[in-house]
Amino acid sequence: MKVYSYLLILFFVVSGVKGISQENSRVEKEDALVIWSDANNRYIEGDYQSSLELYYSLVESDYISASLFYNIANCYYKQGNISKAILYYERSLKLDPSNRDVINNLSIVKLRTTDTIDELPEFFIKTWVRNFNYKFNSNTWSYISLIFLTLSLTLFVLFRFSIKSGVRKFYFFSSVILLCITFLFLGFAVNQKINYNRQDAAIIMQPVVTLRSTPSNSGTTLFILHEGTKINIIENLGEWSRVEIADGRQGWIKKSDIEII
Amino acid sequence: MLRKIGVNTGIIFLLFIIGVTRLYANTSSVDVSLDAPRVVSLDEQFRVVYSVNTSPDNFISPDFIGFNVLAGPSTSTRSSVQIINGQRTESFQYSYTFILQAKDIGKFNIPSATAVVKGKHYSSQSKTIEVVAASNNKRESAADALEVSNDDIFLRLELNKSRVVVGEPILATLKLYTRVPISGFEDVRFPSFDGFWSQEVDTPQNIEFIRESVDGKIYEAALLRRYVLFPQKSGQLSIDAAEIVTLLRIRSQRSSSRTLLDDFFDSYQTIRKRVSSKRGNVIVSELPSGAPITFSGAVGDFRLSAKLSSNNVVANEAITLSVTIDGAGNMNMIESPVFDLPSGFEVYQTKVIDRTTKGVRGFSGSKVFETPIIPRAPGEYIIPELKFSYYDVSKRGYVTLTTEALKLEVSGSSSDITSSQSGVVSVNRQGVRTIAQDIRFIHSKANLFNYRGYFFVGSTFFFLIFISIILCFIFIDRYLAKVKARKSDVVGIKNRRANKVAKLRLKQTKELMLQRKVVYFYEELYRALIGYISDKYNVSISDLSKDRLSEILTEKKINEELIISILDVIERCEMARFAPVDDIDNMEDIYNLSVELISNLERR
Repeated sequence: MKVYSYLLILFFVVSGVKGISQENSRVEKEDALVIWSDANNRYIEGDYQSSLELYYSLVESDYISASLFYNIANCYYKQGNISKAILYYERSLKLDPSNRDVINNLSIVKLRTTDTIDELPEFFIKTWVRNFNYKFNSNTWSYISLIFLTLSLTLFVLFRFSIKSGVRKFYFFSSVILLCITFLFLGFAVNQKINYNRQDAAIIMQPVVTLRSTPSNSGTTLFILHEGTKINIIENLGEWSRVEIADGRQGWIKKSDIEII
Repeated sequence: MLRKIGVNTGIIFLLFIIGVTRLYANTSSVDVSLDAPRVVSLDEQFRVVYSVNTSPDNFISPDFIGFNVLAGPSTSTRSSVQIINGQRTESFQYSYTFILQAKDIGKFNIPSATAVVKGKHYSSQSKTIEVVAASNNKRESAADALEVSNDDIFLRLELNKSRVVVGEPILATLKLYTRVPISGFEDVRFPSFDGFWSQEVDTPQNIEFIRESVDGKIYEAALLRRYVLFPQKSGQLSIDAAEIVTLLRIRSQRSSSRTLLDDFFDSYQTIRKRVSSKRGNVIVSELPSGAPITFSGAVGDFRLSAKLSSNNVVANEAITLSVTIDGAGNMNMIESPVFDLPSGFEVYQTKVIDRTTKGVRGFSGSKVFETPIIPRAPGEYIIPELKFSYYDVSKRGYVTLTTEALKLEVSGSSSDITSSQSGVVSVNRQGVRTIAQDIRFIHSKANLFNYRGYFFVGSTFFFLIFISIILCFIFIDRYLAKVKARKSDVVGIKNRRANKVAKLRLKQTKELMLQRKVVYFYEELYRALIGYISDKYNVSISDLSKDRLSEILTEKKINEELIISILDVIERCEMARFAPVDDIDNMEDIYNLSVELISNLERR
């Protein structure tokens, strides 16, 4: 009886949390969908600027999705803004790294950037795992892991109260396996969250940027990068950031010249 | 006398010309023609000749108003027979000649005359003659004085327009006007027409002089060249002068030794004179802005049509798409309109059939663009409409012509389906070619909407659910464990109940034992035991003798040991009632034994 009352309290707390989070959204989901389809139609008509403005209104209402960023990037590309297009493709990839449309378009747009940096090929298992990780988004993985947790615990209870030893063995091992899967999926969900919250990659927005050896304008010019190139931020110091490009070279760059993905 | 000779030779010459022109005339039809100069001077005697190509029965002379008839009609006949390559042509000419003199300056009408042939009346045309003031004296003197002024001979380049737009055709006519006889030309230089695309229209082989009046003076005018000019750039374009060196035949000045013969035989001398035309100026304005995309420089007036050689064709069979542009203007500049064919067509090189002629309006006629195309796949296709734009000079604006979209039905080719004679099916296979690269289309499905930064996995809500699931299962486990424990202890429950029953039955006995009431104790114990058995096995107490008891218990399959000990306890109770032994150990001993016995019975 005591446990029941605890659960009841829990339920009210949970529904209360949910209610608060729904009140926070400025644009209702139905309105957002109307804006979305309106923006898509503008894109088809070739009115990329107004299409872009509509997509941005969704972003300002705290709606995000890989598709939204992908569409914004397409608008920028059609308007000839290569660096912004790459920035938003990368943002889209951050949410869904295995999206083939985004990968395809990004590779096309990258052909129009100036810098060519040799990137090391990724280990294929890492790609597989990542692709599998991003088959669903973080929240879906969370729900799935909760379902697996329930299944695993059910099997464990069955193991505890069954008599035949063969059946007991089966229940025990499947319960353990399911528990492992639960934590794997939970890991996926957490991994996506961590990746999303990372602030370590950026795109160069200025046409030509010099990378210096010290965080000041008097530093020796090490090399020059052009707009649309992706860099990794290692540390920040005032107005400057120490960055690394894909082949391992490092330099200091002004924060105003880059935009974090 | 001298004039007479001149006139005679003139008549012969005239007849010859008429003879040539009449050569191919159909002799069966009657034709009355009129020949008269266009321009005469006031005091000039000139001839008017009416000619009939058959011998007329009667000729009705016209009344010449405004002219003095000096002589005529004088008749003459001329007939000729020609055999060329076995073809025989005959011509016959019957002429009536009048010699007239104008009375006044102005324009006068030479009326038509009527000839009667076989009872039918045939009329000639009438003609207007311009009479100008006499200038005979000056001409004579000029010819005599060996001085040929620029007034006597000049070149003129006439332009039919002076303000045009780029591409609009201009007709330029180069004419030579003279009042002195010319024996030949030397060193002819025609203008180069910088800034124009020029095309000669008329290039006469024989230079013919025709009388014309310029500023009231009679000149012999000859057409040298005629050009069509297409301005290629805007601005003020000038046409440089044409130059020509003429050989003039001028009567020489009378020599000092004047003989009688001089009057009969004039001596002539040839002099060279360079004449040049004035520079021509044309103002060419730019085409107005706002030209359609399909405009490619065509200026004029055009019509557009397109057709397919067949609207129903088998795949892999060639058809021709013909685009016809006809009209007038700078046709030479026109190129085939661009057409977008649906994919699956093979397009070959366009053949241009030019049926244009040069003329006053530039090029006129039609231009046909024939493009062979081969549809490679069956299906229904629509060849989109073609567009052609031009600048219309008269409307001062752009005009876009559009053809209708053409429908083409391509049926499956027989060679694709049926196998060839060798039995091998051959299909023309090819890789898919990429025509252009572009980014992929936007995502139209909005299925991934999420709130910025909201992750379920780390939220309190998630932790609450996670913990509550675990708590739920702990609770379920506990509950199930209890249920199981109870289920597994069935014997204990039975024992406990049997014990309880026995202790209940012997409750009073135990009290008596503790009070050490020995007699009552055994009495009560005896009653309790007998009472229990009678209740249990449903027999009355009065029936229960010792023998009967053992019988019943044996019937109920109670084992013998138990029966013996029951009977033993009952016997000891009976004995103690009569000979009580105050022994507490004995009493406890028998009490416990009785509890055990009842419990054992109860368990069954």
